[in-house]
Amino acid sequence: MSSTLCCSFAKNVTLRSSDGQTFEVEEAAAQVSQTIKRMIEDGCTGSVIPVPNLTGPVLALVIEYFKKHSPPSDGCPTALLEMEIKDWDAKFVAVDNDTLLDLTLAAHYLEIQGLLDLTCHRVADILNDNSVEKIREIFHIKNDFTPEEEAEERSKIQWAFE
Amino acid sequence: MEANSLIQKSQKKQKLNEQQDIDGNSKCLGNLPEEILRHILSFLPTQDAFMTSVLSKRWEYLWASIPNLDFDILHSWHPNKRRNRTLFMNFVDRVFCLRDSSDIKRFTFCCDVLSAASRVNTWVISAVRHNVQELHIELQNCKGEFSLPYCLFTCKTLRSLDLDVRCILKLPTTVCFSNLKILTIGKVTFSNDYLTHQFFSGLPVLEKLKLNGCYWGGLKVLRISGPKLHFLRIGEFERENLSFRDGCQVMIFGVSLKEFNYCGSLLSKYCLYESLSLEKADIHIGYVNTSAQIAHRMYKLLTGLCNVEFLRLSPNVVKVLIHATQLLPHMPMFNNLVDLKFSASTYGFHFGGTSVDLDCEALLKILRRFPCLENLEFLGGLTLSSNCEEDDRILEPAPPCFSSHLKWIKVYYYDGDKKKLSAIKILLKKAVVLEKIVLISSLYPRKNLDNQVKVVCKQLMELPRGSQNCKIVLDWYDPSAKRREIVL
Repeated sequence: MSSTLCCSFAKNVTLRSSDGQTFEVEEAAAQVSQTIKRMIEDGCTGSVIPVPNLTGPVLALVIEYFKKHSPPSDGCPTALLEMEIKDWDAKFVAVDNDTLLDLTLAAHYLEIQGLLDLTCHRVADILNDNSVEKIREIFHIKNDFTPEEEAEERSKIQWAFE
Repeated sequence: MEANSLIQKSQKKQKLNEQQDIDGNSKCLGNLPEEILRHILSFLPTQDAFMTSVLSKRWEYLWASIPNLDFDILHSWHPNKRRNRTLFMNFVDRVFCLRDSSDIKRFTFCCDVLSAASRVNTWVISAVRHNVQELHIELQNCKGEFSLPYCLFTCKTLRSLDLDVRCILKLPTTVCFSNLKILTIGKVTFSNDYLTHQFFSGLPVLEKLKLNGCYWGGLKVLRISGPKLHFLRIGEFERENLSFRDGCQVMIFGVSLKEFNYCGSLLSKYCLYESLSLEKADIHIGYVNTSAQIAHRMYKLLTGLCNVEFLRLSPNVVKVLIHATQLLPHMPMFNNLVDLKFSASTYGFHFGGTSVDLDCEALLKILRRFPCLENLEFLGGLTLSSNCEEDDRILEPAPPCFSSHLKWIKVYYYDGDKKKLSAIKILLKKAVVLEKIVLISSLYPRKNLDNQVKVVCKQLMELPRGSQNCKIVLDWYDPSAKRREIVL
């Protein structure tokens, strides 16, 4: 009796990362991802759902995000709850830049619009706060312009550089 | 906690792979799919998005599809930006030349153009071709007439238009903004009756209209209508030599209008028609002209507001009405009005008394037209015009709402001054169903504050109350600037 109750309460699915780690998560929470939602709808729930583009640590982070953003069981989210989630989101993406890029790719692959907006916004903030040289360093961007080409590029947008 | 430890784990793993990352560039921002990079750029201010073009060749033209193009040198704090106007114009040119085919969501252009208005038109045409949804144009130092490309006036994608140009706007004969929901026009002069009529008739889905400092003094009639219009704000054109003669007739047909704001000096004759759904109105009079003509304009304006539930009037409204006291008894009844506030705000340079005189005849007469009023507030304070507190004619006979509906009164800037105390005394006596009167004290934290509060309380306690259940609440700030309240 109690076990059937438990099942109807919170149906779980298992997700497996590229490096073979498995994670159990509530089905409703995992459906924050449109990709996983489609897989569940197509009947993938019985077995383990593979998430080959994500490593274990990144998938673990994404699952944290799922849990925080799963639809509330009791109706509409309140304004207070929304504010709390916003704070949580800000802390969630305050990670090192490489993890940030991993999360961005994960959000893109798993079609999690909220997370994609969040990470892209964070990347944009970093771009906004730093010089061209610093940005190249932070995000490992190789400058493939010759000095002459770069000078020319800069002259074209001289107004923005003033 | 859990998330943190996980991050640490992933950091460790990254350290192991660091060498590989740099060599293979697997963790390089430039390796993300172009779709994501464009999404990132869409979160950047336009100018910073362009800066990314020098990062590497991959980034050179990514900005060509950013959805929002905002160019503003008027509000830039950077002096160099303002000086290099030519550089700026060339830059905008380049952005439009290299634009790919993706839609432009927003185009903002704020600049002092001098003679370059034709270039602005080229950009607007380009924005329209890219299905622009929001357009904001602010031009300073325009001379004479200004025209915008006619294709703008039939743009099907435009949802919001904000136009701020201090000159005569040349209008086309055909106007149809089939998707425009929000329209803001600032400082524009409308000079042709027919074309202006065509313009305001071509807004079938408009919901919000703001006219700030526009001039239509040369028109005979300005007709504003819109089946979906629910918010209208008119801020009147102000200049040094106000001319009140032969004002333009502004006719507002607002079948869906819910909120109406007006701020000005009644240079035109305003009237609302079919405004059955109106809920809120805010009328602010700047310069007071106490002639019968202006009083009549005020009367006409108020007449069209008779369905409101919430009304906010500046004290000058009452001052203007002094010369219309014989008309006020003919004003329709405001049967829905439950909340009336007299505002305290002083816009621009029109300083002066913001308190209301309780013994003003016009005040008594308009209060008589509000039979269901429950809440009355004087945000700029309440006083008497002279020391006539024993005069029984004040508020006599009392307006009907005083004996049936008026439950709450709030008066700001109360300091126990003799005239202010007399005004409160009259209110307490006449409002026989009053539940609560709140007096917000203007006593500042200083020495002897407690004493002053005691004196004020004593005076208030002694006042006879027409309503047995009425509470008097005095609200003040103690020396540590904390809000305190006494219920008497």
